[in-house]
Amino acid sequence: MTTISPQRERRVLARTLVGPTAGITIRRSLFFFMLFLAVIGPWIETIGQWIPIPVYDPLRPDPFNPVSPPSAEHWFGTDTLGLDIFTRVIVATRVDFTLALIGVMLGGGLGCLAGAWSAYRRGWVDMIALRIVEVVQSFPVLLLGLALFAALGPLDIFGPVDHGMAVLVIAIAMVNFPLYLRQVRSVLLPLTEAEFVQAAKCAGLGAWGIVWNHFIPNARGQILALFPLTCAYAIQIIAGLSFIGLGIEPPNPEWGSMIKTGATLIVQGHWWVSVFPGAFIVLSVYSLTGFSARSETLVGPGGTSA
Amino acid sequence: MFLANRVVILAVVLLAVVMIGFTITRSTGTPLYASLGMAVSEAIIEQRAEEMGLNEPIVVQFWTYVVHLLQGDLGVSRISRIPVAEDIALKLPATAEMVFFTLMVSFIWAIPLGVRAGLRPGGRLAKLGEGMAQFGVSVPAFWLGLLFIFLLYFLPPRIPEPLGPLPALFPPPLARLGSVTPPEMVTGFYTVDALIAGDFRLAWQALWHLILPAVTLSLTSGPPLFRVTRTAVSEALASPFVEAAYSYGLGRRTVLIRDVLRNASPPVLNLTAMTFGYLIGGGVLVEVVFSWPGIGSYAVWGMDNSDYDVVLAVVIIAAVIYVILYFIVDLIQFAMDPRLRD
Amino acid sequence: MNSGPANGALLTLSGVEVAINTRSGPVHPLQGVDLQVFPGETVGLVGESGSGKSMTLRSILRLMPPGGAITGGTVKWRDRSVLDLDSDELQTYRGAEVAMIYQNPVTALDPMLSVERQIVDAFKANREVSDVVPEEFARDALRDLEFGNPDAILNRYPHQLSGGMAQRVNIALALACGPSLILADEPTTGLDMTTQVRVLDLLERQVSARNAALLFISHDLRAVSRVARNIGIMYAGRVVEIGPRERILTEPSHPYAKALLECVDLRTDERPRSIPGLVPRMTEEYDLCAFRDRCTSRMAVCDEEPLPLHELGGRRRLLCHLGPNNG
Ligand SMILES: Nc1ncnc2c1ncn2[C@@H]1O[C@H](COP(=O)(O)OP(=O)(O)O)[C@@H](O)[C@H]1O
Ligand SMILES: [Mg+2]
Repeated sequence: MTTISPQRERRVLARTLVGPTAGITIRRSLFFFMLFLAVIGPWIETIGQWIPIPVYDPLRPDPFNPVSPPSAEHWFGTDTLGLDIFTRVIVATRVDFTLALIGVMLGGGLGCLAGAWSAYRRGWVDMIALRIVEVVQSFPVLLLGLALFAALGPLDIFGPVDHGMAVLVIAIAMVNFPLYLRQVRSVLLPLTEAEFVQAAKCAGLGAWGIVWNHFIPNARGQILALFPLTCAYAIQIIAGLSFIGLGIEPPNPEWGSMIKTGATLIVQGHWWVSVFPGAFIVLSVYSLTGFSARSETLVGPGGTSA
Repeated sequence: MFLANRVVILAVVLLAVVMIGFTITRSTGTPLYASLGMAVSEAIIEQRAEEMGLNEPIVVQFWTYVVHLLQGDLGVSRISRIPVAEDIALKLPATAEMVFFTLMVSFIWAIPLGVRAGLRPGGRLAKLGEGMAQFGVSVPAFWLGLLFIFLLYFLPPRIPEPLGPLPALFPPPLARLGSVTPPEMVTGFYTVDALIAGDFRLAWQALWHLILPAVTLSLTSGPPLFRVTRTAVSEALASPFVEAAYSYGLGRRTVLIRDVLRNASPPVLNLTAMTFGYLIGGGVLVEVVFSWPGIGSYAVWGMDNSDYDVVLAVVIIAAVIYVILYFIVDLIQFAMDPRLRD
Repeated sequence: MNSGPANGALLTLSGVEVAINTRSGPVHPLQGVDLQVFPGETVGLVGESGSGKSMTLRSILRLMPPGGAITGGTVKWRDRSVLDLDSDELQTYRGAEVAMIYQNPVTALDPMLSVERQIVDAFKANREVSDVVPEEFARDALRDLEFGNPDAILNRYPHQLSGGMAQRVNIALALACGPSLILADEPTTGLDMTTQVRVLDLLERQVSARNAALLFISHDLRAVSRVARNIGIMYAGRVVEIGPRERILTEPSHPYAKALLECVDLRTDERPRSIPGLVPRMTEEYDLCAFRDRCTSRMAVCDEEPLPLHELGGRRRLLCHLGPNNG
């Protein structure tokens, strides 16, 4: 309410307009770089033969080189088994990205459908949906994961699929389901009475037809905005659960479990074992959130305090 | 109306939480194995199942489970043979103290910066806040905790070779007090209990041990608080009644406190309470990193030992606390916002 | 710029310009507003919505929206420049000298404070607390505004008031400050017909009972002509014609004023028709006449030369190439 000189105001404006855009460009490029790493991950060793970057077999221990600090041979150092951290951090990119993606698509997809359905039917369907959301969201995310591992631990239900990975995916899906349900529902609720929906009803389009053809497209923007954020969140959850030994077990490369390996070493000064995988988590999350300017809407309280 | 509605929701959610707990317990078959160990004959299993009422109809079993829960019976730890409820009674205060101080830390940075950013968007402090929020959102709490421990260990001037390496100039404050004897339990908060006992040194020590976990958790759980505060303040600031208040000749400070902050406070209080509820179970990893003997570490310990009653008890306790806090938030809203009272 | 303090005007705006920086570029809602208000008189401003009426009132109180600033001209209160007041002086000036009644009565009240608290605060902020108990003052203030049961209303919160009640509370608030000039921004727009008449009546009576001046703003010529002795016509951030009510209503000079009048039949309650064309979006500064695209008397000179000011005596002023009434 104060009088601000137009010049100053203009400067502020310029900053808010140009600043984030430049920053976001950098973040998006960073994301595509991470994506690139995720793609080449499994072939890193082969690629290493053609370019002068020291990469190794991510699973072959080097007993003569345990816990060696970063050097020209091992850019990010090695861990207790002498595994090369640089290689493993890159290979892990695909693991974390893929699991996050599958989990979010599964939970998010179901959440979208449920959200659209609940906005379309309203009434008791909507009420039940909301209660489900409330129930699921009243469990702290990591404890939910813990409970899932406890519940599914003794069961052998995933056949050939890796048990830990499967449970991780389910955990991610469960966390995402209510997020997408809420978002989609809140976008679509005002549309239920909209003319085009009524028209579609009159035209004899079935409920699912309306949801599919008219609702989902309307919520597309919201869904797309939520997607990178939830993927970032999922990566943190995966790493967090692996950090307490759930999900992906060593020596398979995964950021969280790599950090776990380094946790006991850090008080001895061997920082690199934990620091590099953690830095990759930070980079992934940071780059992913660059895709959505509306980062404030991310996931309730505690956010990503995983 | 609002309240009645809320009570019903509270009841429904609590019931559902308990049902989920029950289902998980049954599906893991914990009660049986927990009381038996693994290698026993079919006959004994059958007999025990009968004794434990596992052959009753599922509804009866559920009813028994609820009654036990209400009596505070959360099962018995398979490893330590101590009732889980007793363990939790010891560990919950540790978690609560950590979370409480986490919020204290957030009150120092997230909320003031949020207010400032709402009042003066684009300002230096607004940028600082947004930067911290970005950072806090991107950084995994457990990793940040490890970094802090590392820095405390190795940043202070190190003694050169002939004498050294003597790393621990400042031993990183792990656990609640390290090896020092805790104060006599009154509230369960070591800082408070030490003060009650009149032992300032001990109180200081307890506080010192709280700082790292609290700062770590605050940096990672504070961003939503910062952002919600910012949005709430800037929305309140832009409302017509604020301009009207200025037009009556009220001063800046008056308008800020009387109108802007008052109207911005409900969502902030709401989120604060929810953050508290959330962190009770959401600080698991930070507890692990700092060897904090709270319910999170307890749950992980249970998981490591396949002691599923422990895990489930913690999950249910955390969820119930969250739901009840949510309800209390509603009560606060109700008391604060005249619009809800009709 | 001619009217100095000597002529006794309460408020003098000359050439007031406002610019607002928005995401999509600068907006220039005021492009040189000239206006005078004398003690105790009622001035009305009419114009389509978007013509800058509200912004004129805000610039009088120096209350700018975020990104907005008064970039040119002067605002004088008696013989002091409002634009040079420091923040303490501004605080005294707001309320105690000039108070405002807002367009949307409900959102102009703080939703979390009782009616009593709001009136008491406005009262205390502007008057030395003497032998009047603020709470009693608040009750009397409501009684003045024809609330049958002031005690009950005092304990209410804004959401418990109807539109008409909320607007009367707003009037009470403005009056509680004890100003010599009251700015009323479309005080009746959201209300239904009967309430409109009642609120307008009350406002008029209460203002004249206090010997205060009233600057009344509306897009509704009918409402303005009911209360104002002097009427100004606003278009695109300028007062294009101003003069005594009779002159403006019977023989307006500006083509826009004429068009406005043609749209409203003051003798009936029919809804006004609208003038063909659109109000400019104010994203540029107009040197030339901003109305010429919609004007039926457009001449070649309108596209070439800036607007001339015609002082027609007796406070009549006109901004138009056509000059004073010629048919
Ligand atoms: N906060 C604002 N930001 C940008 N433009 C504004 C703002 N307030 C008003 N305007 C613009 O200023 C012009 C005049 O607005 P206003 O004074 O509210 O008109 P009126 O009260 O006559 O309807 C309009 O074109 C409007 O779009
Ligand atoms: Mg207006």
